[in-house]
Amino acid sequence: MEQKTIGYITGGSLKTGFLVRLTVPADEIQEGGFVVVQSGNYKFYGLITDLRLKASDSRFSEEKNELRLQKDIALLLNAKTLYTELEILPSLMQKVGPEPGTEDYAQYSQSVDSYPIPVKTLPAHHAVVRIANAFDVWEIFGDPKAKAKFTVGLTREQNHPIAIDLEKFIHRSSGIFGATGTGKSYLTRLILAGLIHSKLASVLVFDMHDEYAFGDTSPDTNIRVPGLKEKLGSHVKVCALGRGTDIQRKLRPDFDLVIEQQDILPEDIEMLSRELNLRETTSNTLAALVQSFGEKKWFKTFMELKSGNGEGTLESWAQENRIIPQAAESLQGKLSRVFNKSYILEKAPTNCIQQIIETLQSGCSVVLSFGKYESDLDYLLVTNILTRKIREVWEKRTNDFHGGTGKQPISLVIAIEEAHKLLNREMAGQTSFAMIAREMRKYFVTLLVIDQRPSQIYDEVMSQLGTRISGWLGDDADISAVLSGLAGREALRGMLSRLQPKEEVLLLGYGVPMPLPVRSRRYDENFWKDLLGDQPIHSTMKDAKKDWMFPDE
Amino acid sequence: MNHSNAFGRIISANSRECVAGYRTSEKELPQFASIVRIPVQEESSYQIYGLVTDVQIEQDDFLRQIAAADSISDEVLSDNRVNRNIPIVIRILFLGFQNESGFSHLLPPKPPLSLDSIYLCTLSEIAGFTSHGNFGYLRHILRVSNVPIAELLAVHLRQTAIAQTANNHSAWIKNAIEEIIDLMRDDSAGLLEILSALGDADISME
Repeated sequence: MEQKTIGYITGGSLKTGFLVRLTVPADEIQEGGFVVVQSGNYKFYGLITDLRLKASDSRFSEEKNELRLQKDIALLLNAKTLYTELEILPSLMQKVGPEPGTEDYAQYSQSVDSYPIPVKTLPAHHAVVRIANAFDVWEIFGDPKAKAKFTVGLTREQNHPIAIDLEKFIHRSSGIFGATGTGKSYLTRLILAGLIHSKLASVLVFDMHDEYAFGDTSPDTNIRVPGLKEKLGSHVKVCALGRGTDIQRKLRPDFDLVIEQQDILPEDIEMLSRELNLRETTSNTLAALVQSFGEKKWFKTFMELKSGNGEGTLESWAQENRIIPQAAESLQGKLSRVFNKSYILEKAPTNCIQQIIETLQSGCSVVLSFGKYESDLDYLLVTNILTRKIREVWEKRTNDFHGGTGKQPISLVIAIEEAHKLLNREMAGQTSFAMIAREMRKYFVTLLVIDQRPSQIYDEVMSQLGTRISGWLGDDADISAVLSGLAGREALRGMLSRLQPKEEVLLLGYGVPMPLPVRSRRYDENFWKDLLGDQPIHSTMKDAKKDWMFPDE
Repeated sequence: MNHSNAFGRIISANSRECVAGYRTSEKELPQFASIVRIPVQEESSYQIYGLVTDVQIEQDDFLRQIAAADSISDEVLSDNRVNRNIPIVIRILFLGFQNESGFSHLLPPKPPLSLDSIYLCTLSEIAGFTSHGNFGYLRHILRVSNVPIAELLAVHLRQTAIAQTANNHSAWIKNAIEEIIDLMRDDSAGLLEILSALGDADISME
């Protein structure tokens, strides 16, 4: 097994990390490198978090020794007195087992002793430090071909595949972050494809920009990249908001989503306070409306109240209920923006929300395309209503399961783009999403939060995110948010800001045994071949749904 | 042990160094930074290795009168140099010793006796002593006082490098300089002075 030694331990502590004197040229080592320290009975696994130029005396570094000494002597002096110091963030330690491939190793690998554990002690001075080899990567990150493992990228130095544990990924809410243009959407597609293909969970994708179902053209390469529906076929259903809405102007979805007026609750309206510019009196008015007309009919009845005087008018209702008539009138005007949405009907031809829920319950995934309804109002309203309904169903089914009267519900991951719109400090308490992030793990529902401004997401929600995958971030507040609640965040800060702007991501948190920057996989034909084998297009799609995909042909 | 070519005798000694005298008529005269050996007469296998750190020509009363004369004849000059009563004095820093167990770079367990003879080391003897161990003898040189250490080391390393190269150990000089850098790294000024002197000594590391 390859063992490239790069230096030896010179100091350090559990709090500040290990210090290493480099014995190879500094340009052979990069921040973020996955290294192993072998000392006594333990191997310590860590991450290079800093490199520093050091001199045994500043005089040797401040003056160019070559100018005052004979060249050969100056080289010897430089080699002896000028060096690079590494800082390593230690993450895991593991007992050194027998030689791999032996019978003893097979026995050892099944024992508890073989599991890596968080670092609790220090290696000895002068312990040798080396770059992790394929076996080390395998020991820590597991076999990338194993069930529930999904390769998200390769180590930057030696291209060893790094897989995340999808079971852990869906066990808690997760996040994908990165500044705009860092490949966040492609990375999300990769993960979603892996997740859907693994059949470990159903996925509901709130596709605000119509990117996930049918793909689009990469702005960088001008090459068209396929969407999840194109490749995963019947495992993915596409739903479009509104009746008869096409996706990307010509593609028809599997079904439409129309919301019935009775599905809208006062809290759905209160959540839109900023978009509708609602006043503080709105809560009282909404409470009075529900009391007057009931939870299912308040919206329709209120919107149909006529202006003017006399019985059955808005004014008379307001007076009867001790509401300021002007406030009621103002609210009615503002709610007309919601009432007039073409995807909100008194009665839907089919129960669309139920259809989505049943699809998800059956193990299929759903991509909800917002099509032309791109405003924040549409996004907030629809995602919240749908998520609330889903939450109710999954809670009930889980309670039935625990009560012994039902099956375990299938795990559900709700992917939300531009998550800060729904999970900011102001909104988090009002939407279902914050509760899902906090508590729904117990009910088999978790979030996949996708955002470029993680600092805008409520910190209580951020702290609940288990696995975090982040591309380059420049803003200090965003970096702090991504690292919130994680050990060694100070050491990881610089690494996030120095990732390559494209195709490099930092894996953090629950779904990975230790933080690690990786070169992310490319979302291209090779990826799909690896995932699906040599199926260019899902067979059911090719045979039965060709004209569904391309109705003009 | 080769006891030919003795060139002087011990006048005084302590555990760290000794003073020896020799006549100017001796054929092999020690130079500054030469390595010498002093077989101790009492024990046939025990000899001390040292480094010449100073060569001093002391005056006698007659010399002052001659120096004050208008002209000095060749005969007088030669007589004074060859037949002078007061010897030339050299100071020798002990670097280690050799006994039946081999070389050691520790200080000799006992100093030489008065009038013990001093010999210049051959290239082979120099190579043998200086390649023993891990340059331990250098620490004796680096802590000597009242001697220009940079000059002393520069000349010593140049001479020893020639001896080592003659014994097919051309990497010795590189290792020796590295050892000096290690030993002196906390005294940057002193180290740079030594390395500068090594440059002046034009030592080849090829």
